[in-house]
Amino acid sequence: MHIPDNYLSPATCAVLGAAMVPVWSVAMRKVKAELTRTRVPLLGISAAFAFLIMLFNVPAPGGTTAHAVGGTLIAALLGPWAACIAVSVALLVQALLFGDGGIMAFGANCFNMAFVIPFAGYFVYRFLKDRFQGERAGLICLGLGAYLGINLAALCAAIEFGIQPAIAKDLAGLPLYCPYPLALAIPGMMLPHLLVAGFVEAGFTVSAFAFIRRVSPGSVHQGARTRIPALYGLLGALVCLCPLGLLASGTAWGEWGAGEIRTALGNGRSLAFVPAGMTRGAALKALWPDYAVLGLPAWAGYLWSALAGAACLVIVFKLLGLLRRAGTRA
Amino acid sequence: MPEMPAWLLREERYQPLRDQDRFLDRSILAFLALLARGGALGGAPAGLRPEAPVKVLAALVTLLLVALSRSPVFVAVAGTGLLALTALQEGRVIAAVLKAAGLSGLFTLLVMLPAAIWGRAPAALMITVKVCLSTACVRLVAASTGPAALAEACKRLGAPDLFILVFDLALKYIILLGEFALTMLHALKLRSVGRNPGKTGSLGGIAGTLFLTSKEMAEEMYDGMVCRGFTGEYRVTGRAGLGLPDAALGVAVGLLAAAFLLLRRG
Repeated sequence: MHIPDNYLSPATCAVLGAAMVPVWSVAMRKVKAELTRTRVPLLGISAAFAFLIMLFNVPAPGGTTAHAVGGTLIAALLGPWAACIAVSVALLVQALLFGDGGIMAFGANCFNMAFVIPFAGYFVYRFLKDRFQGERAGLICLGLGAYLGINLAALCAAIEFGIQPAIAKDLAGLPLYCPYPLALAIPGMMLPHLLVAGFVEAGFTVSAFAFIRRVSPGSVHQGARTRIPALYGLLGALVCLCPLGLLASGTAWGEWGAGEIRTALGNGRSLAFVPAGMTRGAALKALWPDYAVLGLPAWAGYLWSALAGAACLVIVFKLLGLLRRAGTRA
Repeated sequence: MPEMPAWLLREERYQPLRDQDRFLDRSILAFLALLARGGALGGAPAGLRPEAPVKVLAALVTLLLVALSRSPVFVAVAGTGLLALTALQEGRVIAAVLKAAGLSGLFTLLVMLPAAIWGRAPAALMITVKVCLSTACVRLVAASTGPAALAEACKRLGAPDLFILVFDLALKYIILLGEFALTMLHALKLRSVGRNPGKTGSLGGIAGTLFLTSKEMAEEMYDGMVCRGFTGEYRVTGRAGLGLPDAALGVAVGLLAAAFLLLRRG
């Protein structure tokens, strides 16, 4: 998952690097407030630990091996903010001294591995752990967190790769950086992670964490209960990703309108006629057809629609929760 | 005289069962490779060289120009300049630079192969060459700069003290903890005679022990810091004196930037 230089355009690297600046800044502040002075050296040595964790080869199906990333493990042991700094420094050492991952792509690598993995993994773990009691359930929650964390990071990396042909091409239309579009980059990255690397990461994280908790229970980070705003953050991030849909060309298969179905291709042939039911059927005038909001550019329409849709769903579920609580009390 | 028991006289024909321990061998090899490279983290080579902050800045500018360029001619010019700089280094550094560039180029070539087959060969080749150049550039800085000089460069470039402390400690403890992890991996391999189904679980134990050891080391480190009166604040002693090598590197980067502007239409 270490992205070398020149796979991503400088603009993508700059955006992801800029996105990491406030994360690092908050992480520094949080860590300074959380860690006592006696524990500051722990941060440095944890960065060395984070570096070494990535050297462990873990058995994978078919007699092959895969290396662990350990982002969720370090977050569960030190807390997500400290893990963010420790993994960032480990990535810097890898990029600067060992040529593993690019310098320009450092921000992108940190975003995927020092931000997405520890935070997604840790919050999934804490969110589930607070709702399922017991030691074994806690380990299963951690495994799930590690699995989801690494897969979410792989998805982010795939999106970063996949948008390159759309955003950076020369005058002849040839890609300047990663030449694989989203349709190839996402399966290319996600399949190995969903089928192999995710399970490897989860197994390694659970086995190391179980050992530490058994031998030295006091060494494990005692996080506060997860608050719902963390989920709102996740929802917000998904809303922000919605305009990615604009990069796809054409209409989704099976979602053609009456004007499109005549030319829709299937097995290399076009339909060449419009089914009668479609021409005479009921037509609903949508408020925002194709997510387009009057007077706004397409990406803003997508964001607006996603925000409104998510808000409506949250309101509906909150009202349902209110009704359920009222029913329980009665 | 007591007789020898029959089981003691029986010929031993122990054939260990086949076991999957490739992951253990690969882990050991990864740690050995790290420790072998430990020399690169050990100290800066002597001699008249550009100052570390100048080298880091020059490398950043070169990386940016190479990434932005669409001109194969500019990439060739940058490659030639990098080759000339590499030629001025000692043999150990040259070997490290060529090895890193070759491996990254080979990996990128494999990744880009499908794109090349689908008719995007020029773009795939350009990306491969750019990856080679970028890796060589970073490796050149890393192999010719010691960790103390890198920490100094971070300080001079305005990085916060907490970051420098973490970076500095990480560099030092990677080797110490790496040696410790390697010893544990060797112990696990030696202990696993025949089939050892619990080997994978023991790997988690090794990682766990590594974490607990790193905590102990951190406490000892803090005690050491207190004894030496080090509060985690870094001070650079003396001003960076820019000499002839720094000026030469500055001129080279300036020429590269001029070439970039001239050839930007590619």
